[in-house]
Amino acid sequence: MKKGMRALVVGAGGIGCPAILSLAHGGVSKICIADDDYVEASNLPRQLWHWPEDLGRPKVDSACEKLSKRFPGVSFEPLFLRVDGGNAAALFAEHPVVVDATDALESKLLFSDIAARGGRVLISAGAAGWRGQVMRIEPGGSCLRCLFPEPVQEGVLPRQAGILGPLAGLLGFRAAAMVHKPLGLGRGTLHWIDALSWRTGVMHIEKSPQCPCHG
Amino acid sequence: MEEQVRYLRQRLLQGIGEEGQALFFATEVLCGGQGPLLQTAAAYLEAGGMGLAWHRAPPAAGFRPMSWGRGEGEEGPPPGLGLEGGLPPLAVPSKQRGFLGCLPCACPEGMDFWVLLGCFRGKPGFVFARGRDKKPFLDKALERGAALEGEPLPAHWALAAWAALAFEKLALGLMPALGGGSLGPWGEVELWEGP
Repeated sequence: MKKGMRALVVGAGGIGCPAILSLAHGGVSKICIADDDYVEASNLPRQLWHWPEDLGRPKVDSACEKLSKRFPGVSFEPLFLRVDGGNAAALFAEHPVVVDATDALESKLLFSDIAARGGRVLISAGAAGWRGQVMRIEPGGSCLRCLFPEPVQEGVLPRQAGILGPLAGLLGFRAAAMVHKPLGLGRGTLHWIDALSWRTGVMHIEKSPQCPCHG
Repeated sequence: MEEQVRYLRQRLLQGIGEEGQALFFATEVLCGGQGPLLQTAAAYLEAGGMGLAWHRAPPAAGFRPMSWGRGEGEEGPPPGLGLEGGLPPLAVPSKQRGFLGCLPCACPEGMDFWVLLGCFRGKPGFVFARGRDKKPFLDKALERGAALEGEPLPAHWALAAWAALAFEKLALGLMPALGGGSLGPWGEVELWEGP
């Protein structure tokens, strides 16, 4: 990752909070944080930019306030909005790197489509229960629809399945590390974690000829 | 906080049962050392419901535990993270104590389990153990390990999360009693073969 880079993080929750911490510490000069949620008590065990006194505040305000104090040399821009089909492409166009830290499959597929078609690097991260995964999607490379060629049902969300806080942290930190793109990390790389069995792995997802993004 | 307690129970109910949450609340964490990775690991443990006791350390650039910044003598779990408050009582087990440390440090006596962060054979990593008879292993690890130096690289932040995860699983009895791991190039953990 180059110093001075701008990044967009969608989601200031269990994955977004640690991702932002690592990005800010790693030299990203401007981080735009988009989220339309408010801080709830159930967020506190894993979303560590939000504290009990922040209950009821927009997550982006809670996070940016603490981040600005901790990293005065970094510019944080709060965007209190839902990133959806109406604004995602424009937002992506403003940032060379996007971290998807949302927990909705519909959003993840939308962001993946934009990245694969539109010339932006996307790090897509998700976790539920004991498992999680992070994938780096680059323009012209494999994408989430290559991984899930069939329509998939919305699975159990982290807030429903439950998740240990540090596992969400792990996914967030790994997402940020994938932004930095260390040697050997190519497009379509997917890391997975099973925290119950304590196993991890790396897969390289090939482009699917049936994928509508590349057809 | 009642909502949080209720949520935590519900969260764990699906994976490890209600007793798991009670174990978190019954766990006291003694933190030794300093630095952003240790601080971040500790913040996750506190947010999960464990009580922290600190050797004072200067704030670093990681996640800061909520109990920091309070006055002397006011350290410990965040107020309200108890089990009182109208919820059905849990069968809270007796207290257990764990040590979360960063090399160089000495393993204190009286702990039920330990997680130590450091640099092992040139790689950032951690060792863990549960049970008093495992302490000689930790002492050996202390001899062979070195301090983490400098600011964390991007991949090193994962060590904080791995350490907290190991600590929580030790508290839940879901980890082997003895082991460790080091970070791979992308922050993934590579488990060591046996003690």
